[in-house]
Amino acid sequence: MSRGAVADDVLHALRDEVRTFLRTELADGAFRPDVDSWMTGFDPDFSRRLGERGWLGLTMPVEYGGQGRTAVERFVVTEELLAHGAPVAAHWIADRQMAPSILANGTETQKRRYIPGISSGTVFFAIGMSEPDAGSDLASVRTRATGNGDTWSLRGTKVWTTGAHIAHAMVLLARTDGSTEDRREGLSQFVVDLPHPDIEIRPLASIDGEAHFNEVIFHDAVVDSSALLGVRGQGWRQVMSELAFERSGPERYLSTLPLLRAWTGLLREHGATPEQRRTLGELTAQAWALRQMSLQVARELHAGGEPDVLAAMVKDLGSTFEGDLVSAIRDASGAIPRRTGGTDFERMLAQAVLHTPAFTLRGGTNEILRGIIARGLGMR
Amino acid sequence: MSDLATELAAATAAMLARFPVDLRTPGAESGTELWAALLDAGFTSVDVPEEAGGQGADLADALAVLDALAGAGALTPYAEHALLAAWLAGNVGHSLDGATATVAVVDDATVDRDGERVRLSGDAVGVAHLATAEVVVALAGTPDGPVIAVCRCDCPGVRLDSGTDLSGMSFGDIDFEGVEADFAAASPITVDDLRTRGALVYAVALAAAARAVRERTVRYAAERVQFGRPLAKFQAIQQTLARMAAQTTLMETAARAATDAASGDAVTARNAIAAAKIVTSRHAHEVAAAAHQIHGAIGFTAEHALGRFTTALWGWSDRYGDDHEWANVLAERILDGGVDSWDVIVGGRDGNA
Repeated sequence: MSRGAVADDVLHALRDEVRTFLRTELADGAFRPDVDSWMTGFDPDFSRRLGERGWLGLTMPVEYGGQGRTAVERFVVTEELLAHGAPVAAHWIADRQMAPSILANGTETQKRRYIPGISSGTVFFAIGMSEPDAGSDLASVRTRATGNGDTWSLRGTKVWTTGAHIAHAMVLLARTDGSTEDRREGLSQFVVDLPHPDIEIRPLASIDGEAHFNEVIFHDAVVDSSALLGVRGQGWRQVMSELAFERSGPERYLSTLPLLRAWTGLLREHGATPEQRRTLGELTAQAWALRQMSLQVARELHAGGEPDVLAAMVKDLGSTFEGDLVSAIRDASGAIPRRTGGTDFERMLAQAVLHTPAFTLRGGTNEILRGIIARGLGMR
Repeated sequence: MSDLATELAAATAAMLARFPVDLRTPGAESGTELWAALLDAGFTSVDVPEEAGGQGADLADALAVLDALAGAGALTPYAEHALLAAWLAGNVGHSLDGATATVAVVDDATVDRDGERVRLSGDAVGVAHLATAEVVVALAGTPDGPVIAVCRCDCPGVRLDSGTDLSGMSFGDIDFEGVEADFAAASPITVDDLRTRGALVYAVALAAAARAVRERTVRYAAERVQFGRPLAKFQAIQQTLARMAAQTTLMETAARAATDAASGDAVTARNAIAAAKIVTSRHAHEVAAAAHQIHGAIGFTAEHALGRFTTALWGWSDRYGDDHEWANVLAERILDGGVDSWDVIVGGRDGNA
């Protein structure tokens, strides 16, 4: 994403195109803006419509059904979708990290099998990383894959697996060699098609009353040997490079932005006190700066760098901001959240309050991220 | 950074090595040798037009010098003199001819013309470096539009109420009582333009001070041993320092992005500068607090260098509008100007994306 790589007018036209599409969708009642819509807004038809317009798999090569465009163009499309609270959850994981991961590590067969569907918004993915005894301590995963020549047999339990109940496939981090004592060694990744007769998917309801994630149990589930993703024993390294894409994108500071926009609408309608004006200005400024920092990560990733520390900073500050925005608007508006009933704003406020605990946990807790930053500062 | 900006930053660093800065707080104006060297090298008029005796380079180039000075803790009138006063005068073709200047905004001024003579009356509140200034470049708001007036500080009618700011630097008010200006001209620069530029200047200075604080605090945490190990080995310290480093990086990012935006479309530039001043002013206090917490009591002793930078963080957050003032400016754009907050966040230029 070096500057000047994409002409300003191309980006401007793309942004306008996405906005026009979103305005039409909103006018048609095709979706209702949600807070945290990349987690809550599951709508396969919407995903397919994005795929038809060429807005998924944007950076994937054309030969695999992608658009062969740049990371900055993907940045523009995704930030517009998030800022409008559009229902992007169905394809989110597949488009954000599975397509790049399969492109980087997959076999030719895997690339041809999955990337075109991801790019058309018709193939959705889940990710099986965390386990009941391995949350932030990912290296202690115990799910085991045992090789039997032509097949692998999978046994173990994954948890917090977002969207497994609706995904067409999931990627799984499992131990192929050694024991949990070996930590980062001996781990491998697999791409497993869903549903599978020996893979049990149990929804996990959360405090908002919804079930976005699942517990996934592998009862000696047999998959073909071709399900291995990348190199046996290199799972840890592969997962870590995936996380750089996961940690610094616009979804790490924009999850609650639709609430800010909804509140702005109310202030325009009913007038604003000096305190409310100040809150609005401060939140807008912080989002502006976080966006600049996230863009910096995207530029460095695109230039082949490894901006792990900067990405961790974006997620630490960005996800904290997402929660701060909710408290600030709650304080300044005096509105009372309603999970059901009430106005759109009251509903979004409830959604935001109930989702806030997740912001600083998902994708690596902020304490872990600060550990990464401290290491980058030479302190560990 | 442009090649010129990089060169200027390196040359400034070399000057700072030649004339070391006394970092005790409260401080005194950094040695006159350093200031003389900056004047001699023409670094005090980097983005002043050539026809007004300047170098005709870009604002970003001048800001690179400021960044080097602020990051080293040098107390000079660089911001007021080079970036505001000389630039203001230069915009009406007037050269300061080596005189050290400060800048004053006189919101409700009276400018009387008496033949060739121009007399200025009005109050300027919160003027920095007034005690060391030989001349003051005033931007006077009048019913007929803004006027730039250059006055000698020892001129009759100039009443200085000079105190000091948090760092110990000269800071106070000026009361102009029918002061005869050496030079006066209608200004193409409005008071808002000047405040916006001042906000950018201090956003850059705040980011530079925060960077120095981060570097010093990381170093101190690695060296200071307590309970048998360096502070840096304690998780609680690591968490605090990581947060502070992230906030500092955000301040630096904001200052850089606003500097980039400053050369583009005026509305986008003003939004970016407003946002950058809010972000740098707000986080300045958190960065300073974390640094003092990690340094312990030694950090707030007069001889320790930390105070030079934290007093700057505390003081500069108010210069040319604090976070509240600029938040109101953004709110005005959004609520009264009908601009979507999202458009302000994205900025007008996708090239910036």
